[in-house]
Amino acid sequence: MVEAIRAPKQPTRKGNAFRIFHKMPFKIHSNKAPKLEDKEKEKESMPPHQENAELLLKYDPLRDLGDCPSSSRKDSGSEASADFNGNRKRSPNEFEQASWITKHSVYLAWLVLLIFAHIREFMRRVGLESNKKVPLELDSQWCRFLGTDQDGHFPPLYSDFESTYTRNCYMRVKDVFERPIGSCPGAKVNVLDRYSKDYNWSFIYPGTQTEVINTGSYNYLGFAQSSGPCAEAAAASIDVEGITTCGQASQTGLPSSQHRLESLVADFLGTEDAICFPMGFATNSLHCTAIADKNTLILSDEYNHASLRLGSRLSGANVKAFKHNGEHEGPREVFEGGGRVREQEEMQTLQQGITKLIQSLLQIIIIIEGIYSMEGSICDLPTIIALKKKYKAYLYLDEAHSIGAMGRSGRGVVEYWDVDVRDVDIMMGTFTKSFGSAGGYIAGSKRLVSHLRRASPTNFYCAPMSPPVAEQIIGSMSIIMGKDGTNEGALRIDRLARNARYFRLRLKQMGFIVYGSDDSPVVPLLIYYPTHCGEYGRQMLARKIAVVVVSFPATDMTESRVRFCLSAAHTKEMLDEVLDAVNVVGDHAFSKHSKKAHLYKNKRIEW
Amino acid sequence: MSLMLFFEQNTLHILLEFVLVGVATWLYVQRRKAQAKLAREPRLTPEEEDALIAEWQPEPLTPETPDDHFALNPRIANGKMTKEVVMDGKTCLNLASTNFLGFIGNERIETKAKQTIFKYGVGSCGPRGFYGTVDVHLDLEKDLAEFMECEESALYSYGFATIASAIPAYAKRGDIIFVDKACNFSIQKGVQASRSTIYWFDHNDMTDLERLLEEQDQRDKKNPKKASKVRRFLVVEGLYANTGRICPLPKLLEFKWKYKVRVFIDESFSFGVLGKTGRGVIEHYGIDPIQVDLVMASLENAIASTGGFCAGRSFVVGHQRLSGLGYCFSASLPPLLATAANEALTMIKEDPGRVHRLQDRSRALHAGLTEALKGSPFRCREGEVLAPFRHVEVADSSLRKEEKERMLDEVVEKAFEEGILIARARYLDENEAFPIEPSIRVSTQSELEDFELKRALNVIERAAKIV
Ligand SMILES: Cc1ncc(COP(=O)(O)O)c(C=O)c1O
Repeated sequence: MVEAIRAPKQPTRKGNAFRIFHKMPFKIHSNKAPKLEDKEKEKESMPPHQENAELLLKYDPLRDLGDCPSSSRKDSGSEASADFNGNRKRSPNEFEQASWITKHSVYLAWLVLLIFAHIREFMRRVGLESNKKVPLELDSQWCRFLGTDQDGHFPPLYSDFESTYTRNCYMRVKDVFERPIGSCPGAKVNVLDRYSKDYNWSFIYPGTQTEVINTGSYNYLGFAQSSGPCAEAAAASIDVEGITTCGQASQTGLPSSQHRLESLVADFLGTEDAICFPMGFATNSLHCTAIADKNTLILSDEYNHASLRLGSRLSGANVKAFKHNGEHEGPREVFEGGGRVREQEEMQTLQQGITKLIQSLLQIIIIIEGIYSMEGSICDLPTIIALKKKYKAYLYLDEAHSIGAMGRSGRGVVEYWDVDVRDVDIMMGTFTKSFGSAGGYIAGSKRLVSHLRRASPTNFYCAPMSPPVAEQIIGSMSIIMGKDGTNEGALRIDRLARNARYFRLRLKQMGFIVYGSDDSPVVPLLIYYPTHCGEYGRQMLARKIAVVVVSFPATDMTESRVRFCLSAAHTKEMLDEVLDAVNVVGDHAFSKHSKKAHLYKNKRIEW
Repeated sequence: MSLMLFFEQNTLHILLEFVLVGVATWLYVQRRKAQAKLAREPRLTPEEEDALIAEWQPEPLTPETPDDHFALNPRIANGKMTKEVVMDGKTCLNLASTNFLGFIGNERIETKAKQTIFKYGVGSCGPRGFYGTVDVHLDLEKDLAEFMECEESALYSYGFATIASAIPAYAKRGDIIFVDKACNFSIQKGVQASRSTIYWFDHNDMTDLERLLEEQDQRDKKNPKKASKVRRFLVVEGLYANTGRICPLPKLLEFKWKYKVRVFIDESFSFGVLGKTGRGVIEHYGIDPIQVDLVMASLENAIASTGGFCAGRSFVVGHQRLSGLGYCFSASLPPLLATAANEALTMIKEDPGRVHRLQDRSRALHAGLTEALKGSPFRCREGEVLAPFRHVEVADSSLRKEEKERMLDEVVEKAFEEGILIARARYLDENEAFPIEPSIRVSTQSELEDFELKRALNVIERAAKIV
C-alpha cells in the first residue's frame, strides 16, 4: 500500500514530515476560500485523483466523534442542570471577545506606556533623572581590579528592550507583584505592609501586617493550614525522618515517606504506578527528555506552562503549538499547527510527508493541561482522546491545577470527563496546589514509571522529597480519598465547586468578561489594559483583598487580567465581599466589557 | 539634458537597482514555479490516508526496563539519614550522604522547622510573584547575601532548577558560553536551555581554555561590531562533584578581565565546605566576591535543606526575578525548608569550627583512603584534599566499563554487609555530555569520629582486597 503511493524521491525540507500529521485528514479547512478563477484553473490542470483533495477540504475530523459530551457546547448562560445520572452538566469554555475598539485602545495604551518608558530611559542616560537605587553595571567599581588604564567594559548583559521594559513599565507597578506574606496562605492571609520612597526600586517594611482575603494562592481545597491533622503529621515526620536525606535516590536511598507517597498516588489516580519529585516545574522540564527525542513530534497547546515548553524544547523533539481556544474547538486544530502554516507550505504534497514520516517519525505526543492557569479553561479531554486514538498518539496530561480541584472525588479532569485513566498515557500533576505542599508526580503504566525511575535526572543528581513535605501530601490525599473515615474531603470538593460556580456567575452578571468554564476554580477576569493592573492590585488591597494581576509577558499583549483562585476555604460571605469590591473597582476602571450580561440579568444565582 | 546628467552621475546606482529588480523577479518566478509543481503532485484520497494511518505503528512510548534494574529497587531509608542510618532494616555508618556539616537530625533546626509548620503551614501555595513570597524567604535571601558578602540573592525551590534556570536567564541565542567538561548535569541542562554557542574546555585545563578564548578573540576582532553585543560566559564549578577538584579561580578571573567573559560559579558542593568560614571557593582563594558575577548553589548538601540560591550584585541577580524560569513559574520553597536552611546558616556563622572540623575530616579521609586502597585493584581519583568526598575508581583503566561497574558494585555491597554505607556514583550515561569514569563516592562529615572513620576504612580496605 505504502509502496504504491510513495511519491518519487524529492528533496524536502526537514520537518515536512511532521507537518503531515496536522494536515492529514482535513487539508485544511482554511477560511480563505481560493479565488474562483484560480479554482477553475486548478480544475483544468488537476490530475484525476486530485479531485479527492477537494473532498479532503470538507473533511471534518469531529465527524467520527459523533456527539461526545465535549462537543455538545451549550449556549452560555444556561442553567446548570442535572442530567439523568444526577451529575452536573459540564459547562463549556467561554472566551468572549471584547469589542475591537477596546482591543485597539489597548494597543494605544501600550504605545503611550512605551513612549514614556523611552523618554525616561533617555533622561536617565543623559543624567536628568538620577535614582541612587537603580542598580548599575558598576564599571567604576570594576576598575579597582583593573587599574584605570584598562578597558573595563563588557558587552551589555541585557538587551535594550528588556531593561527598558523592566525599569520603566514593570517598576511602576512592582508593588502589586511579589507582595510578601507573613502567615499561612489560607482563606485569609497577612500581607506585609510596605511602601517605597524611590518609585518601587526598594521597599521599606515598617513591620506591620494587614489581614486580607486571599484569592491569590493556589489553595483550591484549603489544605494550606498551619494546624490540623496534616500539619501535625508533617511536623511529626520531622522527628522520625528528619528534614532531608542529603543524597540521591539511586545512590544513597529513598526516604520511606516518598516510597509510601508513590504508592498512595498510584492508588488515588488508579494507575499502575507513580513516581514523585520535589518540584513540579522540574517534573515537567526534566522528564519530557526521558520520554521524547528527536524522532518525536510533540503537539503542544500554545498556552502550556513554561515548564512544559522548556521540557519539550530540551527533549529536542519537533514541537508544534496548536491554538488554545475552546470556542473554536481547539482540538480540531491539534493537527493543524494552529493554522500558522503558510499558504505556500500548505501546498506541500502529502506523500512527501508521509514517506518521510514513516521513515523518521517514531511517536507523537500531545501535551495538554487539565485546567489552564491563566485562561481558566478546562481541556476537552474526550475529544483529545478520540484524536489521540485515531492517530495513535500518546497523551501527556498536566493536572497541576485540576488534580484535587476537579471531579466528584477530586481525581482531576479525568474524573470530570468520566474517561478511562488508561487512555491518558502520562498523568502528571503537582502537589503545590490542592494538597498545600510542594512537588510533582508522574503516574501511568508500570512500564512508563519504571523507565522514568531509570532515566530521571532527579533520581541521579538531586535530592528526593523532603519527608515533612511528603507527609503533608499523604495527609491531605488521604482526607480527599476519605481514608480518614470522615467525609471532610468530599465536603471540601463540593464547597469548591459551589464557590467556583457562584463566583463566576456573579462576575458575569456584573458585566465582566470572564474566561474559561464555569466549573473551573481559576477565574481570570479580563481588564485588557496593562495600565489597569496596578490600579486593580492597589484598589483591591485597599479593600483588604489580595488578587493576582497578570500582564505581558505572561499573557497576550492585549489581554491583561485579574485572576482569582477560589478555595474551599472561602466562605460565601468572603466571596460576597470580594464581589462587592470588584464591582466598585470595575465601575471605576470601566472594565465591564461583556455584552452578555443581560443573559444573567434576572437570574437568581445560588451558592 | 538634466536627465542625461542624472544618469551619468548615478550609473552605478541605477545598474544596481536593475540587478536588484532582476533578482527579485527571478526569485518570484522561481517560487511560482515551485508552487505550481507542488500543486501538480498527486494527492491522497481519504481512504488512502486512513490506510496509511492504520499502517503506521508508533514506537512504544518508553522502552522496557528490566525488573532487576538498580533504579527500580532503591534502598529505603527508615529514619533519619544521620551519621548512623537504618537502611533496608540494617544499621549502617553513613559515608554516602552529602550531609557534610552533620545538620541532619540537629534538634535546633528541627524545632525551628516544626515551629514554621505551625505558623505557615507546609506549602507556600504560589509562585514568588503571586503571594508565594513569605517573609522567611526574604530573611533567608538577606542572610545568604550577607553571608556571601553580596548585594542580593534569589532563592529557588530546588537545587537542580537553580543552576539550570539561572544560566539561560542571561545567556541567550547567539551568546557564547565556555564550560568545563567535568561540569555537572544541571549545568549541562542550563547551557543547553540557553541555546547559546557552547565551547567545552578540558577539565581544569587553563591552557585549553586560553586557547578557546584566544580563538574567540580572533573571531571577534574580525567583526568587532557584532562582538560588542555578544555576551560571553564562563561556567565552572567551585568544587567539582564529579571529580573532587577545585577550579583555579584566580586564573579564571584573570581571563575574565582579559577576555571580558562573565564568570558564573556553581558552588553546590563548596558552599559551607571550603574557606575559613564556609563561604566557598571564593573565600578559599581570598578573592573579593564582587569579581565573580554570579554564585549559584544548592542548599541540599552542606546546609541539609532543599532548594538553591543565586548570589551576586543586584544588577545581575535582580534580573532573575523576572526571567529565571524556575524562579517565576514554580511555587516557592516551602517555608519550613527556608527556616531550616536559615538556622543551619546561623549555626555556621556562630560556630565556624564545624567547617574546620569538616576540613580536618576531609584531610583524614583523603590520607586514610589512599592508604587503604594501596595494593588493591582500586585507587582514589586525584582531587583536592579539602574535598569532603572522594571518588574511588578502578586502577586498571583498560578494563571494560561493565567490568569496572561490577567490581565497584561488589565493593559497595560488601561494605554494606559489614555496616558501612558508601555510594556508587551513578550517572545518566546516555545523557551526559562526556563519558564519566565509573566510581564510588565516599563522603565524610564534620561529626564523624576518628574511630568511626578507621572502622569504615578498614571495611573498605578488606572489601577492596577481596574483589
Ligand atoms: C500547569 C503547571 N505545571 C507545572 C507547574 C509547576 O509546579 P510547581 O509550582 O510545583 O513547580 C505549574 C505551576 O505553576 C503549573 O501551572
